[in-house]
Amino acid sequence: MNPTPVSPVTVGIVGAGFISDIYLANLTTRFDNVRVVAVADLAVQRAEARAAKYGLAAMTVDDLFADLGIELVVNLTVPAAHADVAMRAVAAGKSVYNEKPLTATREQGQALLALARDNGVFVGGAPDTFLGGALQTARKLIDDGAIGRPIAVNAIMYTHGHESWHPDPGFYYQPGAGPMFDMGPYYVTALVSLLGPIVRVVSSTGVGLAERIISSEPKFGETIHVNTPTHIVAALDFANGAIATLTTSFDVYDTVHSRLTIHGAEGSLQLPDPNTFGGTVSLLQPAAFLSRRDPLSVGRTPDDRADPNRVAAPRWEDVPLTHGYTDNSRGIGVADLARAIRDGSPARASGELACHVLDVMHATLESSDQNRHIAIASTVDRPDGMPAS
Amino acid sequence: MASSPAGKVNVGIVGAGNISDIYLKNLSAMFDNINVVGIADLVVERAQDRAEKFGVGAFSVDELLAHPDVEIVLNLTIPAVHAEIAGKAIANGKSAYNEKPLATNREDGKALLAEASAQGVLVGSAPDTFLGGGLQSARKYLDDGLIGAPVAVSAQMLGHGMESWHPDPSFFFQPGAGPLFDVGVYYVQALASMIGPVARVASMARASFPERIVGNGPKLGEKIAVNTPTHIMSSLEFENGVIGALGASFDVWETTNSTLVIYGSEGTLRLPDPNTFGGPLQLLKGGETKWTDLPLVYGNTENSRGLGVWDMANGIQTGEAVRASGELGYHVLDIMTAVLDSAEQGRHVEVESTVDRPDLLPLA
Repeated sequence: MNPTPVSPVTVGIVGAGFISDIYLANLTTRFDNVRVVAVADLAVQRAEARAAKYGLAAMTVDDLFADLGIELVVNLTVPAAHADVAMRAVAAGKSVYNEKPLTATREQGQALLALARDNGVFVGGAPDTFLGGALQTARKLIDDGAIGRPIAVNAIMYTHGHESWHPDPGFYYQPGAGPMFDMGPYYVTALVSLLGPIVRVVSSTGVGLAERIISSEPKFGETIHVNTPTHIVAALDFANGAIATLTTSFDVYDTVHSRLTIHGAEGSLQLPDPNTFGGTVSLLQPAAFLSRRDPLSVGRTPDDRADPNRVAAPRWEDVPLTHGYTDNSRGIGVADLARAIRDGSPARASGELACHVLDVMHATLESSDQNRHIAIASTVDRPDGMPAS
Repeated sequence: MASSPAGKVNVGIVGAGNISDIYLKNLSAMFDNINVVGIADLVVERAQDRAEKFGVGAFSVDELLAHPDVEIVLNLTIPAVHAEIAGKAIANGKSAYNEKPLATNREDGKALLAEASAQGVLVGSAPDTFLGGGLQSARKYLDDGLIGAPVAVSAQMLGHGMESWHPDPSFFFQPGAGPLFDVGVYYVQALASMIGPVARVASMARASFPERIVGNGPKLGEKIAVNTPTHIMSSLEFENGVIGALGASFDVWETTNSTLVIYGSEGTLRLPDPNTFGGPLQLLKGGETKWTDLPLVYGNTENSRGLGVWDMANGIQTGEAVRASGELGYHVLDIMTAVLDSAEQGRHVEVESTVDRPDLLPLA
């Protein structure tokens, strides 16, 4: 007997800005369980331009919410509008998938989840890079025991800010942005998806440069007053016992822009920038090195470099990726949410996960001001791994 | 009155273990203001062995601490008795220079400073690697404004502990040692000497492995109970606003064992392993993509353990402030203790003590 064919989930896009292009390109070609039917934007011409490019209908936002043929709203509006647009979609009986962050505040996020539960619809949220080939390969390696019990994470996101290239970079330095809300979602989501929920955080935050001078056009030479921490050193306690250190900064010059290392009892994994879908996954497994240890090296220290019996140190080895979606696959979280809508099983890039990540990011900023470790009230199950391709 | 050769300060050493070898070698040959009177150890043969090798006197511990010629007691005993031995030296009117840490707790450290002050003698503490050519050069470049105003620092000491190679590694996993007090101390002291005092710290810490198994030597296969955190992730907030990330671990597999970086408003300095005296020292200018090697402008780039004793002898002779001072050693102890307290108490911990940055060494 053939399985009953499953009809694709109909999708309406709200917000036709820059990021809508990659979503539309992917959702109209790569996933056969979604069918995009309409694009809406407060700026009608913008919606029309995108709609024309992808052969879709352009609608007003109100019409899109009123359209009974649309099951899932992909909310690509500016962060300040995320909560309002999503609440309207859910109130209209539609499932919703928000760009990051899910909402501005924790309360908005929780209200959104509650309303969705009441209305029997689904909520999802970006980022979905953790569903890409690199992080899913890492997930499988961890689950298969390649590094043993996970015990630590070293996560670093270093930049010197965005005023040298972004045409209007002021918002990066205001509350709701900063390095934690700008790039933190990728790191924290990746970590929760790999290691599970976070139970406690502590941080030290600061503003390394109180003013920034724009060196890009058209605002060249203008001064930005910095109103949110731009250097954040945090430690995160996971429910599974692992401790992560997470440093995010707009204040430092370095050639290392992203470091994401997961340390286990029996090895370590080095992962690519979690704002990408592919990249290099490297594995350090010292077991082989230790079993080759020469008994003659008794009492010798690793510093005895001239020691002829010294065994070569363990090395990082690149691992072939076991999972697909290694190019820019934004929208894979939408496709997974569509799958969940049809089969009823949990979505991976879920609203609960996005809400937990939001909670962790807020707590991280609060800890330094409140002079204490902060327990994380929310929790979430690790999303399932993706099937290997 | 102590009698010492012209221009020299008399030093007596307590503790004839492993580390005494490099001290004896350097104090006898490298520094011209020191005369080693003798060495003592609870194990008499050990002291005799060292004394013979370096042509100095062998004494009992009490004899050495009371020896009329000794002006500085160099205390190379195990950390647990650092405070006791130094306290006796000070009570006998001698200056004391302790191997790291100054003491194992704040109370003992504070008492040493008070007793030394009351007796009018000096107290100092290892590590003195920050007086080596690598870190002194870094300090000079920093003070000269090469990277602008310091903004942040990153210090990571990540490894998998000593039990795979050390023949008797148990003490590494007990209170007073662990990755922070045993190795992190080099990083904290290097940073305090370059950036200045720390005002507040926060941390999370854990012993990821409740026991370790000796991987080498006569105790191969024996179990060690772990009684102190072995994975410590912390933030240090300096008085001048700089924020540091300090990680110290015996629990993880890594190939980059030491990272010490100072980020400034105009660029970044990558420092050598602060448990060494030399380089390399590298600069990344803001906006550029390549690190360049900086020349070391100070000497003492080889293993120069004892530099701090040389500096203390100089302080006795000239009255100049001592660089590897007890006050610096105490501040470092205070910071490290606060880091462990923070993890245990679930809150940020203010660091009560403060200290001035020690002066740069004069350029040769």
